[in-house]
Amino acid sequence: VTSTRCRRCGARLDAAGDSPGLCPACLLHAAIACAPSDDASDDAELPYRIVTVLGEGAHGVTYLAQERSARSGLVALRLLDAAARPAVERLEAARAVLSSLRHPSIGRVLDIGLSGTGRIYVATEFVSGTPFALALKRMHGGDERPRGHDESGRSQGGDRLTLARQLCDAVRTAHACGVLHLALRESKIRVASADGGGRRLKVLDFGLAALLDGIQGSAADDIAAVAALLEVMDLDLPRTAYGSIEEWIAAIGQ
Amino acid sequence: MTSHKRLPPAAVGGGNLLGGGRFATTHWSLVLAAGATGSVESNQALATLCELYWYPVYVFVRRQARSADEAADLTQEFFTRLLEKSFLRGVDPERGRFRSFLLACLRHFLSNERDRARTLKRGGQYKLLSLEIETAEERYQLEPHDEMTPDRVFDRRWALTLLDRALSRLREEHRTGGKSETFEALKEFLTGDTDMPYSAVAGALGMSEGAIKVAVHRLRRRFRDLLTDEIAQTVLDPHDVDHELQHLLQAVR
Repeated sequence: VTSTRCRRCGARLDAAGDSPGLCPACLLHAAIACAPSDDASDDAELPYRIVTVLGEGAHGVTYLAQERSARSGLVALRLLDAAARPAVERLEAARAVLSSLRHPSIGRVLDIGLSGTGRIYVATEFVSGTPFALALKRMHGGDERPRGHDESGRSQGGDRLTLARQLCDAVRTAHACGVLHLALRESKIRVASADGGGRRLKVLDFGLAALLDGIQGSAADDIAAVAALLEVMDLDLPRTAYGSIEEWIAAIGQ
Repeated sequence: MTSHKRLPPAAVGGGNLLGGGRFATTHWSLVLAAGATGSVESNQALATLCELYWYPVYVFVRRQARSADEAADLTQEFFTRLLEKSFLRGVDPERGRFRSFLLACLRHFLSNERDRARTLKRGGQYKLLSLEIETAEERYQLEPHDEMTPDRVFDRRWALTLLDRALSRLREEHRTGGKSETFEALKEFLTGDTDMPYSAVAGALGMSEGAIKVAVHRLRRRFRDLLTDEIAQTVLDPHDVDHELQHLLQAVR
């Protein structure tokens, strides 16, 4: 019998079992990662009160949470699996850089710390906006509004240009601070209401891919990701091979 | 970095596995406590363990046997002797993992069998277990036939048996709760694959993406609980559950 292997981890799948499509190694890894101490709602020493689960990633669960001292509003709290633990020195260094990264289109990293059970947590700004893909769909008339304008009569093409500028500016600012994203894609972007009206694009998890997931790369990877996102945004930009964020911004128009 | 009180690893890992309290009596701890003399409960516990894990034994034997019939006979006889408890004399309770015990007994049994004239008809004198050995060969033919050693094959099949058992219990829980459709739609997420979009499943189940995320989280936690419960039935010390999990992960890689 020729065994089939998992497309993610390469482990052998079980043709003789009850669930031949489920990779046993991935199942076990996920079960191990989902250790009981992941249950942040039971961790009284965690300085955040858990509100609900937002999602589950490769290395931990992200919760909607509120600081117990209630000095601030809601945060997105990622609690890392015990197995996914970078060195404390790396966390210390990253914390200093990431917390200083300020831009209206970058979701802020608010805190990195150790929970009462010794688990690493990362608190980031909670952005309650619309997923990027859904926001684009609406701008393209996907929700059956008259094509070309949104409900307030604004030009949808103009909105897309605004978001594109915000995206490029966020990446440029982060790179200037020495922070790379390295996992920039549609799911890492939300579109919220801006203070004073209009839309505000927010890039989430800047700097966390390298820190938490060990992803390595260069600024060119982020720029390639921006190019792909601009393509998705259907901006009718000249099809030139751009080599930098500055060139993209110039093409979009300030 | 914000720092809070840290607990020793043992306090974090072991105590919580079975609900944070004292480690419950398990099948294997019951068997070890009763020893070779046994009791009604320990006999039942050992029979249960054998019925759950007979197939890894068959695979181990089959790798070394000359035919399917010989493997079936040897497997049946091995379990017969196991239930007669001749192997239980001299087991060190301090080193009690059923998996290790079973494999050690099996090696010993096969080694002795090789030295004996095989003229006696094996097995079948009295069947103490309802092992589906008749179907084993059909299943065995689906196993990868490569260079894996019998020990490696045994460990891998042991791990797969545990996973199947936990999945089966999870599926049954959903079925009795009238949520079979939800289980079948979400089970792919148990592997932690984050590339799969929640949106497609949300549409099919008529749930929001947020509700799907929460349901997946709960499903994973329940699967973990069932898996650790299954493993716990085969070990004496609660800390061995974590060690077993790591061992199983190595076995299926």
